[in-house]
Amino acid sequence: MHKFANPARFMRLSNIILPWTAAITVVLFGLGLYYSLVLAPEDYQMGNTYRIMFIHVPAAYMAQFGYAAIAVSSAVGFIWKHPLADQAARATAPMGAAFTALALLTGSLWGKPMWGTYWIWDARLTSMLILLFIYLGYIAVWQTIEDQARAAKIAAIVAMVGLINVIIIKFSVDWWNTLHQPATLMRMDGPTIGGDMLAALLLMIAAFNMFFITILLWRIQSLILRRRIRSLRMQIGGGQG
Amino acid sequence: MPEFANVFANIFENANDIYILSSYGAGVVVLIGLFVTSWRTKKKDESDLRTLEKRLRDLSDKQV
Repeated sequence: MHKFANPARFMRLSNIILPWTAAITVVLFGLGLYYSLVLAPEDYQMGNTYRIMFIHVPAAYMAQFGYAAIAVSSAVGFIWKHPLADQAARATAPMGAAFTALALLTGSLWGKPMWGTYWIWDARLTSMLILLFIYLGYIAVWQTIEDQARAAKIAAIVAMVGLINVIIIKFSVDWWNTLHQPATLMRMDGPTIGGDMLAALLLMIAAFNMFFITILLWRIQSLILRRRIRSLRMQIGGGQG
Repeated sequence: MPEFANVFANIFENANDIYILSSYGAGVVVLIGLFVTSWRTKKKDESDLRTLEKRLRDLSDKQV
């Protein structure tokens, strides 16, 4: 596994993969939007407003997936000192925070016409808001601690402890009485929607996933370049001093 | 194509249009924002690295 974590090898491999992931992202978004806005039928109760779900659900899914990815990468970095794991976790955090904010915003825009309010201190909504704060805290650790090795250690601990909140988000609709509807896709008895609605939702989730992978590869490349820049600056500084 | 235009127009003709439109608008802003910031950061890092590598080469040449 360490073989694939070599930064030079990662740069080479990611440069090969990137054009493909970018192209697949564009195709999936095209198809996803066509299904979401055109092919998926109007809901008999919610009318067209339910189409907010095609942005809200993938954003909420990516917010949680992103955090789980950070926690796993952080654990790998913390335990095995994997050279790229901490960088991957660090690169994921701003994207996760952006998707969490998008999920909260679209959730509010769903709440107003459906529940009559933009916000309620409901278990699912509150735990998602806490997730946003954890993301911001994680980013702040990297920004404020200058010693990168120490920052990685503290950020990893924050990430692993914060994973508890992702579990709370997942089961909040089962453990407490909430306004938020129960899981639609990931259920033991299968999804509660079907046909073109399900196809639209799956296509949008796939599009968000591919987008996430594409941007993540760029961001990890950037962090690797910055490490090289820091080391060159030290060499130049040392040479001149 | 006219069918697409009709269906699209029908979606945004009732009182809740603003919520649908705002959600898709927010989605576009977040996705484009992430794309542009990540792309620009990477391009800047590549350019900084090239500049530093050139400076290092120049310094080595001077020392030789």
